[in-house]
Amino acid sequence: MAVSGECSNYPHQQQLAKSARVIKSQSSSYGPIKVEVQKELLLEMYRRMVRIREFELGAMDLFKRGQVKGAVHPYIGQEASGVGVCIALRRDDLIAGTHRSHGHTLAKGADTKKMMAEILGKETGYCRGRGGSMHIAAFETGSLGALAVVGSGIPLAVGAALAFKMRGEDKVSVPFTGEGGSNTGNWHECLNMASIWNLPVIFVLENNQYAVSTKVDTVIKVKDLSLRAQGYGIPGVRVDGFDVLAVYEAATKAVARARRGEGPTLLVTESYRFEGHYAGEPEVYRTRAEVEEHRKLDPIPRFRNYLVDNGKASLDEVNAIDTEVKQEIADAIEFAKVSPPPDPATAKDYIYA
Amino acid sequence: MESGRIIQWLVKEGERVEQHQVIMEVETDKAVAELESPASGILKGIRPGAVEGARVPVGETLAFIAEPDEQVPALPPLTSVSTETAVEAGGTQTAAAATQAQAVTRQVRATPAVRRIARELGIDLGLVTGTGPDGKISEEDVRSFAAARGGALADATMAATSPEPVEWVDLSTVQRLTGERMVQSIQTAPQFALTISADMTNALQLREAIIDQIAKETGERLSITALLVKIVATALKNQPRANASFEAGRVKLHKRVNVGVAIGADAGLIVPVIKEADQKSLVQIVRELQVFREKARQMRFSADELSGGTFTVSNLGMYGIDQFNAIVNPPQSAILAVGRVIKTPVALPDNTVTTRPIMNLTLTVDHRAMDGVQGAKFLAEIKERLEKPDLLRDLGKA
Amino acid sequence: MSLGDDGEMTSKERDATSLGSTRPVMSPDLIVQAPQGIPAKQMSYQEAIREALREEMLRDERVFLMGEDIAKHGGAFGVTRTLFDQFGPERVRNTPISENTIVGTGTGAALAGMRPVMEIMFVDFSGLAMDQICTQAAKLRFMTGGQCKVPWVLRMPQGGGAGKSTAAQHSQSLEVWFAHIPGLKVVLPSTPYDAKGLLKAAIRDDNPVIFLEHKFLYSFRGLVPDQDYVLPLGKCDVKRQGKDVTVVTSGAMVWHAMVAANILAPKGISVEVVDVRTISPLDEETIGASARKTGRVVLVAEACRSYGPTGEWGMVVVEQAFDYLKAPIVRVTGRVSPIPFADSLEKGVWPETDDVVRAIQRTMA
Repeated sequence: MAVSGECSNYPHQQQLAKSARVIKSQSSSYGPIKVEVQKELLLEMYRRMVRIREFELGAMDLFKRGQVKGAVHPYIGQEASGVGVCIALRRDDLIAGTHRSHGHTLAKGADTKKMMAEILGKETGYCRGRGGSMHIAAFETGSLGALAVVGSGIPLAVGAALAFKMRGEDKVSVPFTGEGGSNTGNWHECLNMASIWNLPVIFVLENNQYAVSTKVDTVIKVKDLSLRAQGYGIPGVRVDGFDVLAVYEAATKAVARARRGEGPTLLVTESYRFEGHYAGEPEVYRTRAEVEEHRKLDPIPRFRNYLVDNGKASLDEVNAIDTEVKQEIADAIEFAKVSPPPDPATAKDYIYA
Repeated sequence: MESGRIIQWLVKEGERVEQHQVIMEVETDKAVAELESPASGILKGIRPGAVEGARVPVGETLAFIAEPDEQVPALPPLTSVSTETAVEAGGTQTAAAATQAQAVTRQVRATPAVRRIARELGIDLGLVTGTGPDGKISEEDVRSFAAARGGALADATMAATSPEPVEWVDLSTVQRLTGERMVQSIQTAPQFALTISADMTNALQLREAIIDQIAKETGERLSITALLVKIVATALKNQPRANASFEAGRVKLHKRVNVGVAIGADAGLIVPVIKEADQKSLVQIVRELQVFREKARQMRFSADELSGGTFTVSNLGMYGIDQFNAIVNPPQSAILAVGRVIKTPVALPDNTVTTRPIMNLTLTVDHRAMDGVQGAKFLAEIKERLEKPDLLRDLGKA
Repeated sequence: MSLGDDGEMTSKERDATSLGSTRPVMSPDLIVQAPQGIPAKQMSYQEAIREALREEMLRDERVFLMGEDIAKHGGAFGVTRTLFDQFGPERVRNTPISENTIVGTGTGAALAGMRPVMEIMFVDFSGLAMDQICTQAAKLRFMTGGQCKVPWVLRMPQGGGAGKSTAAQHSQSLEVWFAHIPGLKVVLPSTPYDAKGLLKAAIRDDNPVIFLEHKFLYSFRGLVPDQDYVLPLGKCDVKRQGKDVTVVTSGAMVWHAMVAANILAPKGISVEVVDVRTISPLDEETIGASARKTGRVVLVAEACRSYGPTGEWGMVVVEQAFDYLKAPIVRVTGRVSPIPFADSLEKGVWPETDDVVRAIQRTMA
């Protein structure tokens, strides 16, 4: 098992974890939240969100050019949700993703070169070209991977949490899913299992409003999805998924709870998917106007403005991050393009251990 | 026959040919055959590789007979079936391939295990008689076949390793293939021989009576063989069981009586066939035999002349042989071997002794198709037709 | 030829041709495997499995059990009895009725370094867990390019017994479902000795292993060595040497084959019985060698004929031993039908000893 026992990158989180009073904000409310976070962490949040955005744009471009095969499912618009959660985690905590998990994996700190190489199907990719976009796993950064069957990653995260608990470790496990995934048997069975065994799991439900073409209100009766937690006797929290700090705050609390052995939390982030279900989808099921309305809530410019307007960072600093990240993605694409594909002679490797 | 070897083209590309004109000589598995042009026109588009010495599978297009200005398609180069040197060496490794072409094309029934054993022992299953249901070949069948053959092979090996000084004689294709056919014959057909002696007094008298007339019409001397062919043909018509083949557990009666006549040539024994001999007059038979003898000198037979025989007559009397047993010529089921006419003392009814011209006829029969009684009846009819004056008279007339 | 479906005998015909009531009974002496000279105990198949679990849990603290009713209750078939008392609720965990999540959680725990042994109460319920078994666990190592491994065992009782009337949803033999998925291993032991040794091997194997237990073999007894021994996965076991006919079989059918061999021995037919043991990956060499030796093959499986294991075994025989076959390959299989409840219909649904005897005689004809 490649998950390392490294210490947290952000020591101040331990302080946060000790007491909820440090957070000067309210959870379960919709709207801008003020929270005390160090600058270094804020810039890291910004960097990771931009990294996800640029990566997804690059991936979509490569896909349109036919250099990425299969399908890509862009996370564009949801960056704050993934980053807000993952920044609250340690490197040795685990996340499990969905088919739309470039964002989650990058948010957890994955290397863009290995990610890009993987979606181009090269030997230098995280999965040595065996997985592709929908199955990217970066175990060294605590990412169990993207999984293509909706909901099927959730039990894996729960099982990992079980292992942590059995071994007396204080690691936590975070399965991501969408609102569509929250209708699967997996999801319900897992909330039940995690609740009865009191496992250190944070169930993150990213409500991006659409499961392919299906709008959430046609398949779920309750409007506030965090209420679903009540059926399992665990706390449910709902935050603005476009506000990275709100997500971060809620995630930190849930993580602290889990590490203290108090069991699972359901964390619902309200977001929106700006691109189609997959890159190049005709999107006949929603209007351009609706999409444009939601683009106004774009978390990246919103956070950038927040940072600059509130003196958290200078314009130069954020611009520098933009430039660096663009270069990083360009380098990653270049790396991926020149990397070799897997050798056909190794086609049967890794079937059995 | 699966392939033939081109001996030579008799015309060139671009030359005009007439229908039936001989344009190529091909060596078949029996003899040299002449290929006649199927139409009149210009010979065009000779296939690359269709040259002297090339081995060509049956059915392959070699050239076109076309109008002067007609375009013909370009044929792909010939891939030869096998190299000529291997065939001419006459080695045993090609024997199997040739025998395959010769072998009866019945379906061989044998389990995979039996097939493997046959392969390992180097045995062609087509030569093995199966004793199981529907001719299914068992392991014992294969092993006893191998044992029988093994004896012969062992002798050959011993002879080859003898330190005695030797000289090698290559067999002609005809000789080699005849040998292989004979091997197949004795290995698959249980054969037995019946001998009868015929008093040729009356037959020779008839011959004297009509010999001049025949000579005038054909320019040929009426031979005993010709007489025999006619008699045998008639007898075959009356006793169809002798005009048959054993195939896949059943006896196939041939509707036509095609009598093959064994002719010795320099290149080997050749058996051209007189088709529908029972329908032909003695004159026609004499003429055909004459033509065959001519052709035998150069081995220039058409494939049709050498195939389709349902019975064979072989006369070694002219070489002084008194009596001999011939080997059945597969797929036929009987062969008549004729000896010379011998002045023999015979006892008359009143117990006095006189001499008569006696000729021995030996019928060798495939017991699968005919038994002793059937064979005896057939031979008896031939003897009768040779001896009875009224029957002989009809012979002269036809 | 196939006995067990189209063109088969009616029950009446079957009774008429039966060998009578004096056929040998399946007894422990029929299959004796424990090596000589090692102290061994008579124990049942069920006990042998429990001992394997106990020994592996003592040996490796990463091994733990999950399943429905396996804790205090000891499991629906009593296999995990006493383990809860010995190891406690952390390592012998009762789960809710959530088959997919039982397996998914086990997979997640395995990814995180544990070695779970999960139980699904009947193989017939595995349908609920197929996504986690076949689409996730079987493929995770491959999809991640070797970044992880999934060292779990999923134990599931399977099979039917004539007269037991467990009917359509509790009697199936579904080994081929899992054998078809690359990345899984599938084991089907036939004796207590095999069950213990193979389960220990499965637990120590770093791959997901489907461990199928024949529910009506649980009470079958046999000698089991009183020591730590492991049998290899992926190897057949020749349970009886013979020279005339090879019978390739597995699970409960092995017993029918052994009885059939005893019936035919005095009639001069020497039967070799090859117990497949690991359905996947299949030991083609042992099957091939036996087929080449005898030239006659009978395949016996409880699973229904359509696309069942005998199809795979038959092709392996053709590939490995075609040139040595003296007769067509014959198979004896379960009827192509859901399993009925009524005795009169259930009779004949699965191969009986007589069917195996007749099939062997056919190849000798």
